Amino acid sequence: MPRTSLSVDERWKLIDSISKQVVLRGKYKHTLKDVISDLSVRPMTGIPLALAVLFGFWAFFGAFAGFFTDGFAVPAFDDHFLPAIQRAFPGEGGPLYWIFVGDPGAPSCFEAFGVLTSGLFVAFGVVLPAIVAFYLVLTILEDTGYLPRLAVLVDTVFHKIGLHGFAIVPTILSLGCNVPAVAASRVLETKKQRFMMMSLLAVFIPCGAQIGVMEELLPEYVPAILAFLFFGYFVTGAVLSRLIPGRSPEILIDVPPYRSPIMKNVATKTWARVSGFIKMAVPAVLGGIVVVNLLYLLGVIDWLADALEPIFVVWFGVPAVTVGALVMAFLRKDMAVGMLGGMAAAGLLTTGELITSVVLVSIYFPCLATFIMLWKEGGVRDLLKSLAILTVSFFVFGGLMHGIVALAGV
Amino acid sequence: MKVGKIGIKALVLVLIMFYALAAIAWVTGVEAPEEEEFELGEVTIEDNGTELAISIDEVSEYVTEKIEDAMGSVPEDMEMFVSGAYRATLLGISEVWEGEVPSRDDIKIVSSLPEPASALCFQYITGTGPSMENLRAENGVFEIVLQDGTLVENTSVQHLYELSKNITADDWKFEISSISTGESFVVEVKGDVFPEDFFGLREKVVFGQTASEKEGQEFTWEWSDINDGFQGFEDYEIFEGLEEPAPDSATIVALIAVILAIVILALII
Amino acid sequence: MMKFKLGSAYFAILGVITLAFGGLEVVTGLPGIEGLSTGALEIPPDLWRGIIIFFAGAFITAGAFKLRDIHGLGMSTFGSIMLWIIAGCDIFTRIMESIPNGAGGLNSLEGFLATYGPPYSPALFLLPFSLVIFYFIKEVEK
Repeated sequence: MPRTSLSVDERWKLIDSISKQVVLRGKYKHTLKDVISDLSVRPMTGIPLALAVLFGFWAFFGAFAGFFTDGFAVPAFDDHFLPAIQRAFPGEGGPLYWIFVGDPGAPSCFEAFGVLTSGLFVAFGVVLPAIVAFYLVLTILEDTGYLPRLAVLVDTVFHKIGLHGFAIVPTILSLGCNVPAVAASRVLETKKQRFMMMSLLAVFIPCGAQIGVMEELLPEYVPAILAFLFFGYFVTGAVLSRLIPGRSPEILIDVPPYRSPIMKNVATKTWARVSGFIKMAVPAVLGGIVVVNLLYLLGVIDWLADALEPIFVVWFGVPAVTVGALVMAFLRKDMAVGMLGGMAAAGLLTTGELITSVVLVSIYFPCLATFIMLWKEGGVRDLLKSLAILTVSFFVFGGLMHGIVALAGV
Repeated sequence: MKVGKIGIKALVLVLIMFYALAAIAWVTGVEAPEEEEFELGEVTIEDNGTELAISIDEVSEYVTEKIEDAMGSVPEDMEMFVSGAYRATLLGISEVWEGEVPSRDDIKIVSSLPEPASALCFQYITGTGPSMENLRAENGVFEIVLQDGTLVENTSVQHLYELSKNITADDWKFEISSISTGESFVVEVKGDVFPEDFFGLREKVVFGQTASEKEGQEFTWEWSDINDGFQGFEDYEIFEGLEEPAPDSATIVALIAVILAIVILALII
Repeated sequence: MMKFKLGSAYFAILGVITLAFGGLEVVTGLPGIEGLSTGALEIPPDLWRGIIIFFAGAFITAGAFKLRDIHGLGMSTFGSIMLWIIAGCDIFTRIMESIPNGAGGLNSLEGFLATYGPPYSPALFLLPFSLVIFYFIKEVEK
């Protein structure tokens, strides 16, 4: 009988009949692991546990990244490395100096915006600790077997937007880096689901590097910003689910038993992910700064800022100087947020404008690496459709954020 | 093969250590040492054998009074000039007299900054200011010599105020010397203490009539920041030619080594 | 038999105390209300933490009355795990904060020790008491 001729009900009947023949039935004594596993997927108990795990994830991320970034990297870079390189690099004020060291009077690496100052600081001082912390916890959650349980728990919610519980895996992966997350969208069954997943990830999910920089600049507002982005994720998902033709079928998720993670496996997996990230991100951060500094020196950014000023000021409520950061965001979103932080430190942006700009950077064009990945996975047509969704989302949610910030009086 | 699970034993060990440390900290009531912050000292000099400790508040009060007498009001950025001149005096005296208390009549200050508040500060310290006859027994020397070598003979508040319209960061240079030994030290404020085009903005806000409200606010923020820096930063952060005391080379080498190690490991594995 | 009765009473009390602390953290986490601090105890004004500790207390209490049954024990263990996550984060944060001195170097001995000093969150006080669950796990497994 060809596989495609079976309906969902018929499949279940077939499964039942096979299982009756091959499964030996008897009395099974529940173990403690079984009970805890069962409680993890029941909404009444599973949701509070998910909240606790999320809290643990966030607290670990903050403490670990804060230890390296605030404890060592910020004082080392700002108090020692920056003044030394500002003094030692020849040709102060010249084009090469601006590209490699940046502003000779900048008091912090966030504000200098040179390849050797902001570039190295953001890549190694801010982003690397954040990425290590993220992948370490993610790997532990994977290896304990919690992630599939989370997928079961959130299945109902994801069904509302035409996806299913396993969509949580690419979504969480995306909080580390959008590139492997777009690749992980292949776990979804239909073309509609894959396209929706890739578009939602590219638009609404900030990567770990970006969250790390946000945590450094606006620690008290990061939960609110993330909540807003997830709100956008679900609203846009619900709209897309109704607009895009195609199926959103059920799937079976294999839930493995809870296990203690093995140290060697955790270390190997974390390192594989982190080293992959370093190879991809560091050249992009450094190259991105060169490109943006060249555009500044050639006057392109100023021209763009002048041209786009009415939209930025009226619709988004941010000054036109943020155009430079949006250009950078196409190359590296973490560095773009870092740039905005430098602008805020220099008094060019208020806190409210900084929050709106950070949201704009998040929902604006995906970074170059994700852009290429979208192209590779979905082809030119899907890429163009994703970009159309992105443009609409950018104006709708950017304007909405402007309204919220204005109403909250931040 | 024994598998290295992230086990209970390690977690128990961490717990025991944590509660042991917490118990020690609680019982002993240990407190973190206060961070050492820069403290603005007093200018200590001898006037006819009497040791005087001149505070910045004392100088400020004198300068405010004299400027108000002469002009009817005080320019908003006056405090910044007093702080800068006061800090320069503190540094100059410590460099020339190396911990000894100088006699007032041995102090000579030559300023390149044609501006009334800083001039009155130096005049108060050298005992050469207006109406100081009852405040001092002896006096040193104070002169204003512009960058081009011109001696400013008219040091009245009004005249200096007019001259201060065109000052730049380069004018913040003061020579403090001992008349008896001829030893001197030139205190020069770092250019990056002042934001870009600060003096252009100052001219527009203080002397022009065209500054917008936003520019006025920006100027207030900027001079307040500079003033805070003069009162709170270490010498090497605001004056030229001074080395940062911390051995920073070790930190930089360690930092570079860590970055290189990470890059090499990432490339190898 | 007796030890399970005692265990039930012990976890019922522990659960109620945990639940009460959770409730307090929820209240102090509401906008406009400040955190509480009395002696060595500090109630952090964090709604998120409060909700988790509240539910942890509820689950510990719910399981306490059927401690001999694997499902009751599982429920109390489940609540304890939630409490351990919060306390574990507090401990980890203190360890991380105790090492650097804030100026790019390592902390002094006094600075290091002072990081571990009071005030402590309720989770840190409750954690050692919740570890008694391991004794009952061993007993039930027997």
